[in-house]
Amino acid sequence: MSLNPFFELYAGDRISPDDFVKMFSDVLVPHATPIFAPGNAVVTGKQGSGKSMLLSLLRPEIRLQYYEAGVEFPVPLERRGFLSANVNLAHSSAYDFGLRRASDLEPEDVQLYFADFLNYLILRSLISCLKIYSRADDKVRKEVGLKLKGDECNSIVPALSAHPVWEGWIKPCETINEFDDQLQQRIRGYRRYLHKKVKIIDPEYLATRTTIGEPALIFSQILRDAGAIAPKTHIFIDIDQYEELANILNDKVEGQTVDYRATINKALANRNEFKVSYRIGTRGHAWRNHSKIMGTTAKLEEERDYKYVELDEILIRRENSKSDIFPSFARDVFNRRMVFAKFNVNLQEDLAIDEVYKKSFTPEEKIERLSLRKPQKVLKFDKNFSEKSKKRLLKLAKNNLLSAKLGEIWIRQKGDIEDLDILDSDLPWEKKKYWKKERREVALLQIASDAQQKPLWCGANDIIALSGGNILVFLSLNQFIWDTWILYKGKDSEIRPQLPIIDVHVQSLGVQKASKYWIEKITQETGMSSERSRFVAAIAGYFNKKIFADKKISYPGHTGFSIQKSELFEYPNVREYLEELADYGNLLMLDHTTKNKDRKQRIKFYLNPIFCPHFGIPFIRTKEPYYAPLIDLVGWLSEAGYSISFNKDVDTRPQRLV
Amino acid sequence: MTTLSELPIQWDYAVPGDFYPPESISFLKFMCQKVFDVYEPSQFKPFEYRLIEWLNNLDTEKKQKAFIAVLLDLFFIGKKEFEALYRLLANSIMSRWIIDVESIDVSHPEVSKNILEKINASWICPITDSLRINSFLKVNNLVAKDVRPDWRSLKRLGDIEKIQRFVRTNKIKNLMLIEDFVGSGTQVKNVIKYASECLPKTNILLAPLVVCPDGNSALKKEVKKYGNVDYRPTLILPNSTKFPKKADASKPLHLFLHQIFDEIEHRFELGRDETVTGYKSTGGQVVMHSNCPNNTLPIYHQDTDHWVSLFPRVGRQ
Amino acid sequence: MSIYRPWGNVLWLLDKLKIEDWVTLGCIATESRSCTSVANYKDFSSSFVLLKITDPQPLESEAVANAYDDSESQLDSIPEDQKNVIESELMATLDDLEDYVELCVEKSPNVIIDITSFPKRWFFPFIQMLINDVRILNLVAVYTQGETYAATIAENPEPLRPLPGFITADERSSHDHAFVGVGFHDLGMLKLLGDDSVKKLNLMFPFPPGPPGNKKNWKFVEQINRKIGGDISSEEFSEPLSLHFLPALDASEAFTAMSNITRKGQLTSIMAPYGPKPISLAMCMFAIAVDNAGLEDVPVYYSQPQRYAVEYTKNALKSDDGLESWAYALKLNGRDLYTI
Repeated sequence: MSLNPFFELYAGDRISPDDFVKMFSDVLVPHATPIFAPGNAVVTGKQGSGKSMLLSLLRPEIRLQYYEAGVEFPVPLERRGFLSANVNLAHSSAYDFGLRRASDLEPEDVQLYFADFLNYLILRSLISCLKIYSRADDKVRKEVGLKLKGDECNSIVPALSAHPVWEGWIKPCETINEFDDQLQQRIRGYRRYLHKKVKIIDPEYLATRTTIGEPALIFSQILRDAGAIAPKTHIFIDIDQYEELANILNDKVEGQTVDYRATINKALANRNEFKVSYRIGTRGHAWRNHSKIMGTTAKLEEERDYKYVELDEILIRRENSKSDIFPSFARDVFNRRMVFAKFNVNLQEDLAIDEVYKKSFTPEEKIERLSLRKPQKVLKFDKNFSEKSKKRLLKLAKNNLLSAKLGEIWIRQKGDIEDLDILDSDLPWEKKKYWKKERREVALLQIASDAQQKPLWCGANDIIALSGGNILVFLSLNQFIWDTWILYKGKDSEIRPQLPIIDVHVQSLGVQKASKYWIEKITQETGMSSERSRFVAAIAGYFNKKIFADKKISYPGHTGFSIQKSELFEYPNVREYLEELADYGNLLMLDHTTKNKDRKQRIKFYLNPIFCPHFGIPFIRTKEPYYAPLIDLVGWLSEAGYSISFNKDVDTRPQRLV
Repeated sequence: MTTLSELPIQWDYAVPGDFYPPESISFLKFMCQKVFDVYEPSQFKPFEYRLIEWLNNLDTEKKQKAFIAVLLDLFFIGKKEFEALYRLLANSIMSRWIIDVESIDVSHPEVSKNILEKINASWICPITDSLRINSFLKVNNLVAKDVRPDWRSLKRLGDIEKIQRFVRTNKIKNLMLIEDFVGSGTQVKNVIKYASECLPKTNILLAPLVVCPDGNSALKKEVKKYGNVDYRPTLILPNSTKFPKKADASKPLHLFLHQIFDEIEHRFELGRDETVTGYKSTGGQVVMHSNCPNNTLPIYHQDTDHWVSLFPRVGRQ
Repeated sequence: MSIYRPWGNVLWLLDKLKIEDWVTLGCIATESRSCTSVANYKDFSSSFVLLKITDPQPLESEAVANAYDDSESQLDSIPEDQKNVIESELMATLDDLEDYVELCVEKSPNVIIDITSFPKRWFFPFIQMLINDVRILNLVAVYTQGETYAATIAENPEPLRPLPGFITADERSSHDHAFVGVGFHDLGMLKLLGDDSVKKLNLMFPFPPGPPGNKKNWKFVEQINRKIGGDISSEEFSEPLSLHFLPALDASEAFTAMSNITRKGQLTSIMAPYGPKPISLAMCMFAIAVDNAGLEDVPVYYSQPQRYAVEYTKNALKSDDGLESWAYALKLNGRDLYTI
């Protein structure tokens, strides 16, 4: 058994179905119903938005894990009638058309091959699903709506194999295994060609190619005509790694790039009379900027062609929003990991995380735990501070350093004009609740810095907030914290079943490690990751400097920047670079309701909260961000290595698949 | 006086002025548990416990942190790493040397068999008893000769005639002398001189596994004096791993450590040619799973009434 | 002792092989060692096919152009009629690579492939083509060590996918063993271990060399240990994670190790070729050997960077004995040396 409950890699024999379903959180399911509802669904969200978890519920193996474990399958009962296919474009080599020179072919031909290859992959996956469910319990088959049991699957094969959609390439056969073998043969043929095990692609393939989506429709039609599936049973086809198609630089043919996404989009544009629909995982803006359909100038339309499931929107903390889903999701995941690790946890309440980390620490509590020997040394007085005020603040510092620091800032801002010989709770900055709230995070950082210490990041609320709505970040934070705890606790870390209480310093150190790790990880992502990494460092450096130079804390909100929407749209390359940063979760991109009189629409950008500890910036967003003139933004982008043009007609984006 | 009972977690943050980067304590703990714990001469005390005792030799936090920083640069060679060295020695260095001295055709389909034959026909001996010759032979499935004296002892007690007769009788053309660790090279130089003079017509391979920069220079120079000796070390430690004899102003850690060394020197029992930067000031920062060489900084291996060692040494009189 | 497959200092090995007319397939890169390597043994070779590989999105065009020129100038002493310099894109197709191999075969059945600066995306399929081409009688791979690596050696990785030519015939997603080279860590490949199921994870820890590089390697091991939530052990048959110490330069030893661990390819495996190039070479040879033995394929997964540092290494590494340049005989007299 892994010692750290938050392991992310698993080598060894498979986790038992029991363990698997215990770890799997279903909190998101009710919020992502379009995934299980008829019609195409485009699921957008960063890596770590829970996308993969949700889409995996479509798979027969996963459903069966629940049944084997005797745990209720989280998909609502009325939505469980579906068969599914899953194609991973990377794993299957569907990505790999660029490995062969397509000089004898038009780009459309390459797209047609791709479509045909994809069709065969989809069919094979559907056949596999059929086989799996046909051998399952009656209960499962009933829920799915599958009437065929075991070898009865063979009954649809003659009609399916003889169908003209195959243009004669598939030879009519009797059993599902024979049919599967033929599908596999063609797939192998493609893969052998793509990876140069054979010189040319079998010319028969082009002659007998299938149109994107057709075989799946035929499959569905034949099953329904044969009464093999219930009328309301749907067929869902999940295409994995669709979003990475934009990051594969492919061979240009006659100067035109091959557009694989448009090919897949065509399948989504197909009419849905046989209840076949697609699920595509993408990154938000990348999808919206494309949407082309192969063979036409039309584009896919939301609602008509697909439903949108914007997981980031569902999860992330909006302004003034108490309806965030992410905290419950995170708490549930934490609970489940504790159960898996054999700790005693009440599954009805998701409070385990509060027990282990404590729910939250006030800034005053955090400062106390810094254990400063001489807190007064942190205060810095300007020349205009009166002796009386200085004395008052020094006295205050002994038992409430935060208040003393805020006092220092207050006086610096407003002048040393008030009599401070009053109760601590009556001090002017203590009475201005909002003023204090807006500034205390920055004050905390300044105190820690002046004391030559690292600030503390601890408490369940902090850890959940630092995750920025990303479950992978949340898991990682916990992984680092627990790894640190195990290192320092040694054998004591193996005590069960009592939940441990993890010290604030262990938590804080874990957070620091995680922060550094996620920043380093930027460059290991796809897309223009090194530019994104440099951009993040550039703005982080800028804001860090600002924060620490701002001795009056006049602009506590300057931990993010805001740009006019109109400016962004004037410079498409700038906009797309920022969108990529948001799509990969390096920046949060939010609508900004400006307090400016001009009422111009704006968008604001903040660093992903997980980066903030390492860069020494508060992650809590407060007040107004920095209203960045375009020139600032362009400066940061240039520093990062992006090539920017102020000529609105010149597109300086690198040429990639569009 | 800062007496530790455990490594303080606050040290793991590393603030400006600390000699090591953040997360170093965590890394050190990891290394303690996974790597250093196999150190043979002190098997019954968990390594981290010995580490605390060792740090408590010092009286301030700054000094303790400096020792942690220098410990992070220590090169520890575990048992498995040694086996990798054994295999590299046999499979590449010895094989290539035998190809050369025996003019073996590398393109021949039976080249492996030919090499093995010739190596097994060679006389493979350790230079000192520190090198575990049986382990070396076992790891590599070699038989060689069953008489394998260490040549340091042979030099003191051996009979040249007997040795020469042994070589004649067994038709030995090649002598391979192996050593686990060479610090300054002093010991090995004497042995090589003896071997070369004893067997002037025999091809001799001098093959130390790990060599410090000083030792490497010394042996390269020494071997030129003899027509029948080839020097082929397996792992030469780079100059950057040598702890400098004199403080270097550009390296604050070394500067500070030299100050500490000056303060604590009287707590050591240094023998002839031993200094605060090791035997003959080799400045070694190497520990093997089997022992700590005296070329390595004495802060690690000195065990006196006034100093607790981290890697106690099994020495010779 | 393991099987001896001839390897050693390039000048030593080429001298021992006594073959006269080698054709060298090499790479002209912005790092000078790419050409320092070739220049070192040029007297053994009578013709040269040299690929100048360009990144799709270089950052500093002028610095890049100058670096190529400086690099290439080291080969000025090679007569023009012996040299064939071809410019090609990083993401060239397998057909392009095959054309370049043809250019070599036309010249001689004895090929030296200098892998020093070739990206894996190139040298893996090159070696596969050369090994499987019966017209090639003698094949030697050369690798020259570098001095001082850039802080960031490569950027903007492609999504993780199999190297061209190194897939499984069927999309196997469950493997007995995974072999991961430990080196300049790329944690992207660990995603693979999340998607596929692997019974045993083998970390190939390059040793020697020792310090100062080994600390970085231990930090990588520390990361894996944390991610796997458990216990790394260097016991040979520990489950499910083992650490294997293998000399960074000994491709033959690494090959033997993989062969032994997988019981000569009877157990299935998957590769992630990070770390020193000779270890990657061993992985390449192992995948080819398993394929040629008719056993279940070994897929090799990699995230191909799209941009390389101009000064990937500062210079070629030299010692008192000359250039630290190593040759590995892969095929001699038509006989494959790396077989299961």
